[in-house]
Amino acid sequence: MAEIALAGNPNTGKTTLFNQLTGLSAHVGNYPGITVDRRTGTREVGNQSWHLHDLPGTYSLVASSPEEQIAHHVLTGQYGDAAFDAVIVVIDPMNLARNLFLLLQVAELGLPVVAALNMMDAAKEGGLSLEVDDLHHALGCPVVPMVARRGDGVAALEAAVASVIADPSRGQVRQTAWPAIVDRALKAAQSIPEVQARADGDARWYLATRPVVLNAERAGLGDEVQTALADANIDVSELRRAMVHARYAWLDPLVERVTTRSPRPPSWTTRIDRFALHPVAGTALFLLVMGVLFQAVFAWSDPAIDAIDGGASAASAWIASLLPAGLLKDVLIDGVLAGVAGTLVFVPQITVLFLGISLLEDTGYLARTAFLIDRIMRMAGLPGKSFVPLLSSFACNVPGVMAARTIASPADRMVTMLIAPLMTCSARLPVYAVVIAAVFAHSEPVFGFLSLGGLILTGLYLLGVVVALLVAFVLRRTVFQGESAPLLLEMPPYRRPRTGNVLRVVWRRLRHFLVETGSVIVALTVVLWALMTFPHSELPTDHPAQVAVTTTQAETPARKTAEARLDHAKQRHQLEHSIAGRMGKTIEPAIAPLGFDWRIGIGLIGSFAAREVLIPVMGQVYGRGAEAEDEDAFNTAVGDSLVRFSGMTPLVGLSLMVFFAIAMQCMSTIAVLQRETASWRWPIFAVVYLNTLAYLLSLAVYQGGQALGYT
Amino acid sequence: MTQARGTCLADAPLHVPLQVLSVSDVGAMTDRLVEFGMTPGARVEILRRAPWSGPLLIRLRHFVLTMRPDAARAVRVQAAGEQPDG
Ligand SMILES: Nc1nc2c(ncn2[C@@H]2O[C@H](COP(=O)(O)OP(=O)(O)OP(=O)(O)O)[C@@H](O)[C@H]2O)c(=O)[nH]1
Repeated sequence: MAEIALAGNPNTGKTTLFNQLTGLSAHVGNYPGITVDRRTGTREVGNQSWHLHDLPGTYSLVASSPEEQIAHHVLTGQYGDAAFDAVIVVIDPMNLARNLFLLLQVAELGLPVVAALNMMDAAKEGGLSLEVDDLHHALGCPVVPMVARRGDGVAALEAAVASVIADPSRGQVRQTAWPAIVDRALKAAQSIPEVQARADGDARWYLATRPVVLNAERAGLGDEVQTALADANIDVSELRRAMVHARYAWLDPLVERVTTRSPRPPSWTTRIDRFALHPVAGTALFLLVMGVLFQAVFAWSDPAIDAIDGGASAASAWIASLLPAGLLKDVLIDGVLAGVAGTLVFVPQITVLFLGISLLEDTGYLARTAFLIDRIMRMAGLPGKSFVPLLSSFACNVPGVMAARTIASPADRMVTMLIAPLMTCSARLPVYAVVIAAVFAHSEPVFGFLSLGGLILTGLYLLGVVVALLVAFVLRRTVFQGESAPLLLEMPPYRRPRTGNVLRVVWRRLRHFLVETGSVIVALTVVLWALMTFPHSELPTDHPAQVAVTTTQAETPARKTAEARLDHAKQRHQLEHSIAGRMGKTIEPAIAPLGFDWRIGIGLIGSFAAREVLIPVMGQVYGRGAEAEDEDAFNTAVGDSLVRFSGMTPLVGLSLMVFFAIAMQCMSTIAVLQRETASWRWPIFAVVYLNTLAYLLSLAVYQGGQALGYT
Repeated sequence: MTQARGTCLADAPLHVPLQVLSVSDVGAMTDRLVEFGMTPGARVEILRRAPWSGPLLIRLRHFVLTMRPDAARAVRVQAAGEQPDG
């Protein structure tokens, strides 16, 4: 089996070529610890089998982003891959020097390379003509012109790779002449025995110096090399710069020699960008595109969500009818099935959002949004790329957190994911609606025409955003120090989106969510169910509801009502005596300063499943809802009970809403944070910081309000 | 020192063909810029400046990239074709 890697700058058609080469054998996996897809596949060539690896697109092997680190790690065998027999470097001829820069770096690792000059069709259209033979002679390695999208040149590429596998010396590149500082560095590093043992030729110094070049603080081999370099009086940053300049100094005249450009009218991309990046027109277009995206996620997924909800209730009713009453049935229905349904309801929004994002990415517009929004996001210390994830979080925090994957810098991505839960998602709205209806519905309009409820709602949205900006500011100065990753982004040419590609991306995200995040959601749902179910507690036989049933005549309407009441009384009794119920009572002293009684305490614990669950949980706490005919009546009943039994005043209502605006009352968000950060550390951090903040703000509202004489 | 020559890319005029003189080393950002091909002699042109000191849109060699003015401050340029002795 021959091992072959595909490397290349982003957007050179690497994946297109990979698909051409591997066909249906492609397999998508993950690199350990990071959420970057790892694509591998096989190709049968003669009686040989090739194992192909598609590396993430990268401009350089000296890493400054996770993608680049992966490319370097794979090529140097740090993920345990066998040494590569050949590396196909996919090259965009329109940017020959920058692409060949990467090819040189790969060759310096001592790996045989083949240059695949892709997109020759686009190059011709752009007025570029290329002396392929001259390029081959200048470089030394095979150079294969191709049009990967049409499959042109695949056979020639195959032959070139086969020849390099047979004789690796054919894949060598006539090396750059290095300036003296590099020679001195190499000599210094070679005094280290470990370096001598690692590889030979140029690879030796590259491997040796790279950790230093990459990051001076990195432990291991780098330390020794650093000392050796310091002993030899070599400045690391000078060395690093000298290496880059030397490669370009070698490439520039070469590229000049083999290319001719004939002038062309401005390309489509240039013409579109005059409009799309214009301060006024471009901003308007941006708002329109984002508006449509948001509307799609927020509203257009609704029918599908309702359908899934309906389906889930039908399924659990059906399964319930098959099983005998008992604990098994309860855990299946209220734990596992509820968790599965709780996972599935996110599918429509995730699908729509990722459809949108991958369309924007595929057309090249997503990179433009970074240019357009950077100035505003910079004020918040966030990169432009965090705009779309945060916007989507207003619909739902779960897809919002997932969308942060488009952010390359790990620190920026982390900050974005940690503040995403502060965006007011649609699950908070039912809570706000019930509370506002219960205590603010009859308030006087402000200034005679603004409804107080509407103002409060607006204020809650703003509160989330303001707190998010402050948190981002603080996180940037503490946990994730340093500026947000500098904006340095290539604007790819606009391209027609490829349906297959877009659907593949959506499907991969969905599958990942269903399998990985779904299992965490189900597990958390079962835990929550257990908290509300155990220990088991029987309603005392002398309870009025019990008595009412036994004293009414069977088969009468009065008996039916009494039985329904008894059911509710049982549920309420069970909930009150469960672990969650006891927790609600235990925390009462802690939440009393916020104006909440133990009933609301139980609601806070129960609504951990999802914020909107507060309403049904409260219904259960109050044993209300037996009489409610529809959802509206139920909501009103819950609102009344909040006022009657929990003493909810406008001030308490406000305190409760502020708590919900900030607190992490959503285990699906916790689950998705756990999956996306591949650790429990960050979701726990998020819960702690958000709930502490929520507590403090509610405390300030309630105590401050009281001090000012409000109730 | 080379720093004194030419103008800083952040302040250079729009739509004028320019040529890179030097890029000072102020961290990972400038390393990345040089690896992108912002090397002495490379052609650059400013295509757009976003309002309120927003990012710049720049044609470097034959591709377009965007970066913030603070990064562009590390780059010294002069009008293309001028003698590099300035
Ligand atoms: N004109 C032309 N376009 C091509 C060719 N090959 C690929 N493309 C297009 O180039 C774009 C990028 O292709 P990908 O295969 O996703 O590029 P990539 O290098 O894998 O990109 P990254 O995933 O960012 O590394 C797509 O829109 C392709 O349709 C080609 O030979 N000619």
